Amino acid sequence: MGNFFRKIRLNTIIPIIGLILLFSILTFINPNFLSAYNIGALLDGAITIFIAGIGMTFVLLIGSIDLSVGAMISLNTILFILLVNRFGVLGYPLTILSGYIMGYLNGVLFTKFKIPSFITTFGMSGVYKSIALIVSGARPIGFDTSKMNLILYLTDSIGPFKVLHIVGFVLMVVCMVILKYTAFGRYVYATGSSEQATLYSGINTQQIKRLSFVISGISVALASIGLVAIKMSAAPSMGEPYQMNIIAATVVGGTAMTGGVGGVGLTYLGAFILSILSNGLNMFGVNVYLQQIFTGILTVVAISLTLDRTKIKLVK
Amino acid sequence: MPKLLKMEGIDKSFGSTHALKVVDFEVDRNEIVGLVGENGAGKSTLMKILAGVYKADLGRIFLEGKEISINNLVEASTYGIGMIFQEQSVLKNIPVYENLFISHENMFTTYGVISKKKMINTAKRVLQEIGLDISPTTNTFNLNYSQRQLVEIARNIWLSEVSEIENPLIILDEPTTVLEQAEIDFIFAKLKQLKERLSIVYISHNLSEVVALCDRTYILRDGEVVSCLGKSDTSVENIRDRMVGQGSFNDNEYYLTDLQRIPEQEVVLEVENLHKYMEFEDISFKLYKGEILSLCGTVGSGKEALCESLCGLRQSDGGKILINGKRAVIKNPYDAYKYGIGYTPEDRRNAGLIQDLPIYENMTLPILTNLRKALLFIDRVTQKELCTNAVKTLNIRLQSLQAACSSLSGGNQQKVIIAKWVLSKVRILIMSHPTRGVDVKAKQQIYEVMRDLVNKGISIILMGDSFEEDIGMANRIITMKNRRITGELEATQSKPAFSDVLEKIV
Repeated sequence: MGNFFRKIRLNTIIPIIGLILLFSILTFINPNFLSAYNIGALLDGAITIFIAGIGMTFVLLIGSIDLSVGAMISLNTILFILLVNRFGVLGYPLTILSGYIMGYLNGVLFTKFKIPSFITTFGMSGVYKSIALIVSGARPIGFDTSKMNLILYLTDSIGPFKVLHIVGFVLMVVCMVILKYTAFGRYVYATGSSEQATLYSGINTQQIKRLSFVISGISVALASIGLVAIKMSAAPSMGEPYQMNIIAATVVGGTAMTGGVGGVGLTYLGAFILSILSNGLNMFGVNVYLQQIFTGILTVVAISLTLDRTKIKLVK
Repeated sequence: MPKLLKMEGIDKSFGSTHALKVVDFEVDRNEIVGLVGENGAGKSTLMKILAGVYKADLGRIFLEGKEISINNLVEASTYGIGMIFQEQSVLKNIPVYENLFISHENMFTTYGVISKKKMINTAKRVLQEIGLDISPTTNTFNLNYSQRQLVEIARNIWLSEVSEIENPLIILDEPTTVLEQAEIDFIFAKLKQLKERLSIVYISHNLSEVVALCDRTYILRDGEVVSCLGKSDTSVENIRDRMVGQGSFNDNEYYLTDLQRIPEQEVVLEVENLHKYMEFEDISFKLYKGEILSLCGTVGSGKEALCESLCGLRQSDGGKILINGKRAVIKNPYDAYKYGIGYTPEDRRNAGLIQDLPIYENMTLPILTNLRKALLFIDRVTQKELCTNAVKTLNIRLQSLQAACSSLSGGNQQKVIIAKWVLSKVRILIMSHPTRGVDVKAKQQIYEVMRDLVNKGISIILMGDSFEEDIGMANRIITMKNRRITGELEATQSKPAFSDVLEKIV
């Protein structure tokens, strides 16, 4: 029991303290940090990572990992623009459908053929990258001017926030509720804590795992739409830098790579921490190329704090 | 001249289980000593203490009259003591010679580089000495089980050579349970040869093997040595008589036989000619409503595999399973659950419970999807009510339903698992060693719960932690040996004698 509560506490408290510390230090050094403009920028930086991080949270909670999110973002951003250009507003559901299909493919390969998820998704990321290059003609693409209005409303302002930020927040609340109050959510935790015992309780753990990957696919599709709304364009390798940041946000938030511990709310914090970090580093004029070093170190530290080493051989 | 090995007053407890009670044990030079007893009698524990896997709480070990202390397997090997476990410790993906000298490669260096040639030559000699006719460069996966056993023995002999031990001691833990007769003959011939240069402790369930092979036989019961028979006194009957406890399985109070009910006529489960290659063959039996049916058999008899295929943990190759008269196809545990079959696994800590999740979630895990109210939300009120009631009826001792399962004692953990299946309304409960590692009082409470379950019309298939438990609890006993059913014994009206059961399984 002690172990359980210790893990929970560390997981929730450290990210919150980290966030407050970062905020205070940066505000102290530069009072402009808390300006409405900068808060908006912070949220812009966090939103793609966070929305895709929702799916990553589900995947890490069952004790797996999704290494295809970066490639899926690349492909979905391109698909979204192409689909909106051709089908108008139908591009939204079609992009979500494509995310669903990609997640389902990952999930089926993982559960049916019993290939560890890091290999399945790593392999599939190559497939998605290639498709992204092919459908885009290896060029950046943008919206037809006539379709612009279908996307611009996402960045309309409501107070200091954009519509997009609020959508992200609502998604977070919905997923928190799913994880905490529905049978599926509880099964996600159960599977991640002990797949064997969950299976022995007569629960279809394969289905739970597959669904978690589907959620990852869908959330990546939504994140891609958000990213396009901010950038108003897409390029075939646009998602790549997000791969590490999404995993980083999830584990920095406190979701354990060994499964069973963590949550979507924590990932929100994690995404924020990463966004503030990079924003703050920019403020100090730290070279962009150096910034990944900080993210990388932070990720390793977070993983080492949350990892349940008794389960280490189960990491897949 | 002092005996080769003497263990004196060995005492060992695991938590509240007193596994060994002041045991004395001796082995002489060039002797094969048998060690028999029921599951949980303490055979393996005693030998694991000798091999350095466990440390005894009390007691002393003498080697050739000198007191020694053995703290781990490596230390044991320097005294020439080696244990060959049932789940072998040779690696299958490397050649035989590498297995022989694994972790001692640096004894074969030339100019600081490991010399393959030296290793192969030594391996040739070692294998020749024990008369194992295989090339040292063969890949280990080409060897059969008994050959791999001999490789392990050869490794132990070589290790004791290195430590300059004249008469090594090798412990074999149930070496023949997975073997065919031809392989058994082969390994026996080898062991008799090897006796010329070493001593062997032979742990086995197969009494006729023990009689054929051993010079002396120790019989353990409940952590005590009840007898030590010389070669002339050993016979299967003689050993069996001594393994029998003094009527404890007839003890009404312990197994609550007063509460035993007569099962109903309704057949809930019928198995017809179920078989699985190398696991079990030609299995047919019926299970009645409100019945406790015990499956008795030793490790390797096939009962575990049979139960696992009824719970969907593995699939049988053929045959029929009928539940309430209807054909059932059970491919995985959730199929089994759909057919109303629940399973309380032997490894209750890892397979039975999710330790980190709260007790109430563990109890309601299978039925969470049924506990829905609007919008897929779990109905927390009903959930809590169900759990509180289960805690009351099963008399589970806990601080709070919100606490993690790891906070519970073994007996209460078992009850939480039972509660889970009661709440799921399963009709058939398959229980594997439900009382393993819990103290006497908790055992009794579990028996009480089981009696209560059958009163509610649930049927139980039991693989007891001891044969006494099987006999004491069962309405009917099915005995298994060598993957087949060997008999069926009535146990409702009067309990069969222990020896009657034993006769059919060893």
